[in-house]
Parts: sequence; structure tokens; C-alpha cells
Amino acid sequence: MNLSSYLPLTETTWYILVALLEPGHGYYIMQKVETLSDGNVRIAAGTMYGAIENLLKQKLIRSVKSKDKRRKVYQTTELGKEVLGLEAKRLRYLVQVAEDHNL
Amino acid sequence: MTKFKLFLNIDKEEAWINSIITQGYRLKNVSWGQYVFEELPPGANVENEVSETAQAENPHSESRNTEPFLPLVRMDFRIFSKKEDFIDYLTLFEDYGWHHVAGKKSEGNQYFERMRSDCLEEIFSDSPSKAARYRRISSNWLMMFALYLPLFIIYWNNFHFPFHSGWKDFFYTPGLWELSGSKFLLAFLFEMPFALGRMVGGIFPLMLLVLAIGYGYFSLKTLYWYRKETKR
Repeated sequence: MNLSSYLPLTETTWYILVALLEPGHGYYIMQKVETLSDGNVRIAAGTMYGAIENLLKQKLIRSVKSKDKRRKVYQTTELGKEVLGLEAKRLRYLVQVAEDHNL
Repeated sequence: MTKFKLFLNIDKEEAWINSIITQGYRLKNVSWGQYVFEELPPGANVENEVSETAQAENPHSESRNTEPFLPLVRMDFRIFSKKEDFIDYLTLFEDYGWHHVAGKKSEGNQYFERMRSDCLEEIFSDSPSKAARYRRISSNWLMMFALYLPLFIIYWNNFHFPFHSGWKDFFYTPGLWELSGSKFLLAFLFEMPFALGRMVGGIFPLMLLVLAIGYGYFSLKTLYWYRKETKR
């Protein structure tokens, strides 16, 4: 299984996967991502629905049991966590290169 | 008031609906090309009213108060097979502050109106997801084309009609054309409804072909719009 084919992650995907380390539904993801990104990333409704669909297809998140009949709840999968770890490593390396060049 | 209009392009449809809304209306329903708008009294506290309607339908949605604003409409295209998926989708939009005005589970076009002035003005925050609408629409038209083309071929192969021979061949009575006078007239008039029926029946496969071609064309046109949007 070649995990590096998932990289690089888009900013939106990165934030959603981090936000879903704890289970949550669509709107919760939006709020969490807004907080995590300090207000810079605000994912709109239609975009969010599509993003969730894609991540489910890629098995990076999964549907978990929801107490709310009207809202589906999701959580990052083990695969998703592994991909996050690889991406974090990649980003840290980029940051290191930046610092080495006084950026 | 009700307006009748047909659209192929979803962005144009959305823009037209909002052009009416900015004149002081609110979209109430859409069905078979009929757009039903409700006139808003000037300076109306629309936000509250919209939120109240939504609240009556779902006690879990939030609502803020005052400030007259425009209940702008945004459209999505999505088809659902399971009702629970549809409800999950609608609830997501409602959480975001978008009230579902019209659109059936399996029909595709979904119309949302803005409930609060503090929610995001768009339902798509990046252009790929906005463009993806066209791709879904195109797939839907393609499916219709893939359905109607074989139907036409089946009908065409099974029902032959003598278009080349002329209208007389729709009359099956043997020896009809050798008769004369009142005998002919009687036989002719008697068979005429049946002959007409056969003629109309012959047109049916052609209708299928026209539909198939139409769907194929719509599919390609929407795919072209999708490509154009994604090239930005």
C-alpha cells in the first residue's frame, strides 16, 4: 500500500482529517476547521459535503454511529491517521528547509 | 407570482432567480419550469421570518434576529437514493444557515435560500467543488441518453413502418384501394382511426431518438461547461 500517493494533502483535506480525529458531523467539522486555521479556512456547505464524500471514498474517514438521526457522524480512520502522520513529516521537512534559508 | 422558464445552465438559473429576489421577492417553490415567488413587503424582517419557518420545520436550527436582508438562493445538483442520506444533506445545509426551498430527493436540482445574514454567502468555497456540479449534471444527462438510445433501437427494430411507401400503407384492409364509391368511403372512414393510430405509433420511436439525441447533447454541453470551469 503506497501511502505517499495520498500526498500532498490539500489544505482543506488536511484540516478536515485533523478535525475528525475526534468524531463529529459536517457542521462541527466546519467550526473546528475554522478554529484550527484561526479563521483562515472556512469550508462552505456544498464544498464540505463533497469533501466528506471524497474522503469516505478514499477510506480516510469513516461513518460512525450517530445519536442524531438527522446528522451523520464521521471520524478519521487508521489509514487517515497514517496519512496525516506522513503529511506532517513532509510539512515539517518543508518548514526546516524554509528556516535553513531564513524564510 | 409565478414565472415559467427553462434553463440548461445551472449558473444562469441561479443568477436569474437572484435577479428576481433582489427586486424584493422570495422563492417559494420550483416545479417543472414554474418558479413561484412570494412578494416581500418592503423593509420586511425577512431574516426572522425565514428563520421562523425553518425553526417550525426543525426545532434544532439556530436563528438570529432582525436586519432586513435578501434571502438569496444558491443551487446544488445532487441525487440521492436513500432518504436518510437526503435528510443528512439537508440538515448539513440547515446547520450552515441554508433553508431548503425546493428540490426532490431523486430529481437533482436543490434550491437553498439564505436564512441568516451571518452565514457564508456561498455554498461552495472553492471552484473545483463548484465546477463538480456540472460534472454531476453531465453524468445524469448521460444516463438518460444511455437509457433512451437502446430503447429507440429496440423499438426501431421491432416495429417497421413503411415511411417510404407513403400514407396509404397504414391502411391494412385488403383491397381497400380497389373499392369505389360509398363502399370505399365507408371502409376508408372505418379504418381511418386505426390508420392514424398506426401513424402516431410509428412516430413514437422517433420521439425516443429525438430525446436520446437531446440528452446526449445536454450531457456534452454540461461537460464542456465543467471543463471550462476547471480550467480557471
